[in-house]
Amino acid sequence: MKKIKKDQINKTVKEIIASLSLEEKIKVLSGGFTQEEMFKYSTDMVDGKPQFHYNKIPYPTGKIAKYDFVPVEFVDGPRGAVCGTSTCFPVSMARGASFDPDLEERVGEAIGKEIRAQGGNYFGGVCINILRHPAVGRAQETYGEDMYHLGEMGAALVRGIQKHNVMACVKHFVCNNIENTRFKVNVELSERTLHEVYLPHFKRCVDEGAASFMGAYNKVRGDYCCESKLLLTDILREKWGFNGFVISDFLFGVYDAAKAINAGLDVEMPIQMHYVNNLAADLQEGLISEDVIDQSVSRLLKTALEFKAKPDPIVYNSELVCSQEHIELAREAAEKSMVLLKNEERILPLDSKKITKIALIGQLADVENIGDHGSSRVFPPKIVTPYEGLKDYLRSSNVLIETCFDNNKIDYARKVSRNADVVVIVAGCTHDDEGEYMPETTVGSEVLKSTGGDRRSIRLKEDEINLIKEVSKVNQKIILVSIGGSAFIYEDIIDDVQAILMAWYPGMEGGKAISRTLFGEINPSGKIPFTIPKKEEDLTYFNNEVDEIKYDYYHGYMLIEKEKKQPRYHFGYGLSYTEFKLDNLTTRVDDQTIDVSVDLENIGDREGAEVAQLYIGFENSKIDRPKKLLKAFTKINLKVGQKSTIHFSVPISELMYYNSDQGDFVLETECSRYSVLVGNSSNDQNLLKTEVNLRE
Amino acid sequence: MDKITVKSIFNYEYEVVKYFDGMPMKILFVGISSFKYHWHKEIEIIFVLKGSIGINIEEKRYELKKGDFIVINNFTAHAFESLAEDNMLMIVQFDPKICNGDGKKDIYFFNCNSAALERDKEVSINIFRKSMANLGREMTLKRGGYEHYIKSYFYSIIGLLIRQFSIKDNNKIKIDEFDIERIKNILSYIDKNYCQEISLDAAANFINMSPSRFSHMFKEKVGISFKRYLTLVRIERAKELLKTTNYTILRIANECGFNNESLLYRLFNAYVGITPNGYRKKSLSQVRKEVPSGYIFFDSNDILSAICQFIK
Repeated sequence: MKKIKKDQINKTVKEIIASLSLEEKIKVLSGGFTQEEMFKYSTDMVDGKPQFHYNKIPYPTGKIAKYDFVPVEFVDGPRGAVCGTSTCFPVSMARGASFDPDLEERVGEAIGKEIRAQGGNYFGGVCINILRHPAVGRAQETYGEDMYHLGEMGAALVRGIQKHNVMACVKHFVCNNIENTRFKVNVELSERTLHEVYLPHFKRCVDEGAASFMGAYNKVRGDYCCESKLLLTDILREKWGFNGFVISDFLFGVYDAAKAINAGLDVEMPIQMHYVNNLAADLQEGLISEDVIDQSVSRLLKTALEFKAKPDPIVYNSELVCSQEHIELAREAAEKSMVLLKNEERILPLDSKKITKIALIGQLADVENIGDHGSSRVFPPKIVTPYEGLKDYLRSSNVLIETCFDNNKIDYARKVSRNADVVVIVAGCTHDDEGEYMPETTVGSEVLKSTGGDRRSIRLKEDEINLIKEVSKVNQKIILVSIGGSAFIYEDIIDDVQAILMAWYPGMEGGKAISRTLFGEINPSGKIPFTIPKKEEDLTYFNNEVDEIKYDYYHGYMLIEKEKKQPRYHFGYGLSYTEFKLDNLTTRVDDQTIDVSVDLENIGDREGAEVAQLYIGFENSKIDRPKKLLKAFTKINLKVGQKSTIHFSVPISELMYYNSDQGDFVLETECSRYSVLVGNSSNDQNLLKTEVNLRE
Repeated sequence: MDKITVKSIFNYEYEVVKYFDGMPMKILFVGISSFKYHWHKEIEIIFVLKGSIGINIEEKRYELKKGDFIVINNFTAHAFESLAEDNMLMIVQFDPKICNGDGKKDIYFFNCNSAALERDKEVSINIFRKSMANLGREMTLKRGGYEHYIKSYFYSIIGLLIRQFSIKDNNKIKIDEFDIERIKNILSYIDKNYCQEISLDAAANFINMSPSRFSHMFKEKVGISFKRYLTLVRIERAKELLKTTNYTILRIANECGFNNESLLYRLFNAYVGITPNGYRKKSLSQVRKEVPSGYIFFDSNDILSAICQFIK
C-alpha cells in the first residue's frame, strides 16, 4: 500500500470499509495465520534439529488484499524483539531497577528499529502488570511494585518504540498477576483498589499515546478481560479517552466472540479463531450489529494508517539488527540495572592489581541465562555468561580464576575457595524456575517440556544455601551475584556473604556488565523496584491454585509500612561505591503543582549516579491511605564533589484518591496537609521531610 | 474441550445414553479412524463436518462427504470406515421414545440420507443441515440460555424427521426388553469367547434357543449373520493387536480365534481390504500422524470452525 497523507486517513478508512465484505472484515479483525501456518513459521533449525521459536517472524493480522495492506505485523517483547536474531536486553525488571526512563526510552528505540528492520510494525512488549507478589512467574517482564514508577517506565518504552512508527501494545490489561492460573482465575477487587493500584500505570501509557492495548487472559469481576465491557469500553475508552485498538491475549483470550467484540475487543490474535468462526452467525442471530464490526475495523485501520502516514526518522535496514550500538546499549542497560544490596567492609569494588586469585562458584556461573522461555524469549546471536565475562575482563591481568560449577561438589568448592582472595558465587533462577507458564505441549512431532510458572519458593535453593554456608566456613569473603527476575528472601545466607549484587537476567552482555561492576569500572546505581522482605508472611496473599482470588488494597512497601514491619531492603534501595548527600529540601505550592527542590551532592571518592526519590506522605489523611507513595524520581550522575539542585514538580492531582461514590479521583476534603519526603530509598530513616498545606 | 477418542464411545454393547438436561439425547464430536461394528437402541444422526466417511448399514455401503448426514435407525447394525482423509463427525444419539408426542406410541423408522435422496427433499435437507449446525454450535459455545436453544433445535430436527423423512416399514417389529437382554447377553458372550472356536450351536445353546431360531433372530435383530458378526469382532481384535503389539501374525491369528494364519490373511484382506502386515505398517505411520499439532484446547475451536460453514 502506498503512503497516504494524514488528512486522508479518515477518508481512506471509510473507503476500505466500504470495499470489504462482512467475511473480509471479520478476517481483518483476526490473526492472519492459520494454526498450521503459525507453527510452520515458528521453528528454527539448531544443529540440524528443529527448535520452537515463537514469533520467529512477525505475526500478521488479516490482510486487506485490495489495498495490499496488512494493518498489524506483531512482534513480541519486552526483552528485545522476539523475532529473528535480535539484541537481547536485560529483562524489564532489571531496567525497572535502573530507575532511568531515558535509558528505557533508548532501549525502546533500539527495539523499535530492530522490529522495523525485520518487517514488524507492532510491539507487544510493553508489559506493566504490577508486581503484586514477587513469586509471580512473569515478574521479569514488568518493572516493579510501584504504580508511579511502573507508569513512567512503561511510558518511556512506549515513547521509544513509537518514535520509529512501531505501534506499542500495553499489556496485560489487567490484574494479570498470577501466572499458573492465568487462563481461569477471577480477580475480585474493590473499585478503589482497581483504580488506584492496578490501573494508574495503564492510564499513564494511554496519556503517552500508546497505540494499542492487549486484554489479559484472566477474569476481573467475573468477566474475562477480553470480554469485559467495564475494562475495554467504560474505563479504557470512555473514562480515559483511548483511541487505539485492543487485541486479545494469544489463543486463549476470547471465549465468546460476540461478547468480546461488544465489550470493545477489536482484534483476536494471533490466528483465525472465534471471530472467524462465530461473528457472522452471531450477526445473523442479532447478538451483534455490523456497526460494531465496522467500528472495530475503523479503530484498527485508523491507528495503523496514522502510524503508516508518519514520516520515518531513519531508513530501516538489516544492519540495525544486533548492531554494535545496540549490543553496547544492552550492556549499558545491564550496568545501570545492577543493584548493590550489601557491601560489608567495602569488599567491592575489587581491585585486579591487589588480588591474585578469584574463586567463581555456582551452577549459574557459566550458563547462558537471559530469562524465561515463554513469549518474551529473545534469540540473540551470542550470550556472554558471568564466567566468560570475568575471563575476558581479567585476560590481561595476573588474576587466576578457579571455578566450581557444580553446586553439589561441596568439597571441591571449598578447596577452590580456601586460598582465594575473594569468592564470587552466582546463584538464583533460570527459565525452569520462573517465567511464562507453558504446560507440556506437542508441536508437530516435537514435545515441548513444561516450563516456567510461578516460583515455588522465593528463597535461594537448598543446594545454593548449603553451598554458600559450606564455602563460608573456609572463606568469608563471599560476593553473591544474584540472578533472577524478582525479589529473593536472603535471610538464610544474609550473614554468610559480605556482598550481594543483584544482576537480574542481564541480557546478552550480562557477563561483561557483572565483571565491570565487580571491579569498579562501573559504579552500581540500580535500586530495587520492590521490597525485599525478611519473611514470606510480610507479603500480600498469593495463591496460584484457586479459581478466584481477592486482591487487597495493600501490597509491597505500602503493605509493609502499613503493618509497621521492617523489610530486609526497602523499596528503592541500592548502594553505590560512592556516597551522596541530599540537602536543602524546599517546596512551593500553587493551584496545580507542588514544586520541590533539593540538593544532591556526591560526597564520596568516585563518580556515580544516584536516584532521588520523592514520596508524598498521607499520615494526616482522614481516610485509609498508604503511609506514603512514590510520586517522582530522577537519576543523576555526579562527579566527585559535584553538587546539583534537583527540581521536581508534582501535580496536585497525584495527591487524589479514588472515591467510588463519585466514580472518580478527588482530593480529600478534610485533609490538606501532606508530607513531602525525598531520599535515596523509601526507608523513612534516610528521608528528608517537609510538609505542604494545599489550603495556604 | 477434552479430546474424545472413538474407542471410549462405541462399545459392542449398546450404550446407556447419558441424559442431556432431562432429555435422553447426547451430542458427540468425534473423528473416526477405525472400523467398528455396533448397534444400539438409540436412533443416531451422523453429520459429517469435515472430511469423509464410509458407513455400512445392513450390508449396504454409503459414502458421506462434508455436509452429508444420515439417520441410522435403532437396533440397526452399522459400521464406520474412514476414507483417505481425516474426518470430524457430529453424532446425535437419542431414545426413539422421544419421537412420540402427545401420548402416542408410534414406532418410527426414518429414511434420511442426504447422499442418496431425491431432489424434492433439497429444501428439507438444507433446513435439517442448518438445524444440526446450530445445535452443534449451541452445544459447543454453551452461551447463556443454550439449554433452551439446544432443545429447540433438537425438537425441530425430530419434527422434521417425522414430517419429511419417516417411512412405514412393516417388516420392523417392535423389539421388547426381553429381546434386548438376550442380544446383550449373546454379544457379551461373543466378546468373551471370540478367541476360541464358537459354533452356532454353542451360541444358540447359551441362550437356550434352537440353532435355526437363533440364527434367524440374530440376523433380524443385529442386522447381519452370526458368523459375519463373529468374524468382524475377531478382525477388530486383530487390528488392535497389529497396531499395539509386535506379535507375529501367527500369534495374532491364534489370539483372535482364527484357527490358522491363512484364514486371518484371507478374511482380513476381504474385510479390511489390506493385508495384516500392510495394515500394521499403515497404522504405525498413522500413529505418528495422529500426534495432535498444537494445543488440545483447539478442539472446541476446531468444531466451531467446521460448523460455521453450514450456518452462513
